[in-house]
Amino acid sequence: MSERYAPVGWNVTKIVYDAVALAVTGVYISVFLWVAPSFQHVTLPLDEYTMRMNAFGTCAFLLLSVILSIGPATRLDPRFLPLLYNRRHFGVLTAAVATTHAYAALDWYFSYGPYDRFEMLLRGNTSFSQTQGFPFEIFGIFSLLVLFLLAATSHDFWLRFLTPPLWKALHMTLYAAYLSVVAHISLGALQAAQNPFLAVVVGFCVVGVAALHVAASRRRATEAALMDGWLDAGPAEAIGEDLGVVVTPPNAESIAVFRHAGRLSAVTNLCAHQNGPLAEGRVIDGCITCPWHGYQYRFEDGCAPPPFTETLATFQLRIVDGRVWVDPVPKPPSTVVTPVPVP
Amino acid sequence: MRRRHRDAHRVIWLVLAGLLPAVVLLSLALRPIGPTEAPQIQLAPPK
Repeated sequence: MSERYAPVGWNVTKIVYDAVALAVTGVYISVFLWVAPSFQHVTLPLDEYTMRMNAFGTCAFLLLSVILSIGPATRLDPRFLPLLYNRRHFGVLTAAVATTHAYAALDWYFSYGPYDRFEMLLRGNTSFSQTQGFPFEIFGIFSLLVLFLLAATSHDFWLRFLTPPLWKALHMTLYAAYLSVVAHISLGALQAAQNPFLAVVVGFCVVGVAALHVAASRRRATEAALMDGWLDAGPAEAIGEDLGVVVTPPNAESIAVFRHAGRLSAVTNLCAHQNGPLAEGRVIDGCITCPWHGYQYRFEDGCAPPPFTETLATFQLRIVDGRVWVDPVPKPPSTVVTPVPVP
Repeated sequence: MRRRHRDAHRVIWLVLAGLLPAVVLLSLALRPIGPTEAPQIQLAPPK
């Protein structure tokens, strides 16, 4: 048994997304190289190689901060969802920019020693016991290796091969990489910074990213009340046409209840692609559509329309006195459950 | 998002919310005070 490797499924949205990301990155680096020389210390001017290294280094750090902010920002405000759509290409771009930074540093600082420059990078400085002159490069190497690993496994092939929970756990190593990047900057560039600008930017980014994640994680779904083994999903009229609501059973995964054409249907809240929150999506063309990447599932049986093969667990519903009740026991994926008409 | 993944996420970011600013502040506090020595030799880039 084997998995077939499929190329990128390009569409207009992805092309526009990538073009904008590339353009913003190009403009940032160009402006940095143009503007930064005028802010230099008069007695310690930086050479053009160091300038280039700093331009790509700061760009990689800012891109990484933006990438890490997209997830919590979408949970706090759905208007950020378009940024999430092609975030993996953003990650690959960041890995490329960080590699250019590393290559510039390697070429400039480690090319004139008695050993090979990679050997110089790893053995040239062993002052691990002091802050001043600490071999901060080690943190950069770790972060770059993580970025490489995540870029290499960012394709849907690896998502299917590893399964979404394992793939997501692997991609959470990005948090360790971010911490390592911050240590790399703090023990490197910040120690030699000639003005407080870099410290302010780094401080703003780390506090901003952490605050967004903490704020988003505080928005917890409240568990629904159980009565005779059925979950209370609230009044039927509260569910807007072609919209969904989330119902959270005690100690189990959430359930998404959708309304379409005056009928209600329920599926698991976890998209089969990346476990995206389906209840935050909409019904489009009769299909429940994931807000993250647009994966679709039929309203009645949770099956993706042909030729796609993803399936979702479905749930039995009933309406009593205008309130929606959900049986929390999932039906096997793709089981047809007749939608319940709203009275 | 899976419940277990969400819980792990919450714990990780509570830790990072303290750790990230601490790393930056600590490194700034340990910065050398006073003028730094100017480089004596500027090597040419590789040809």
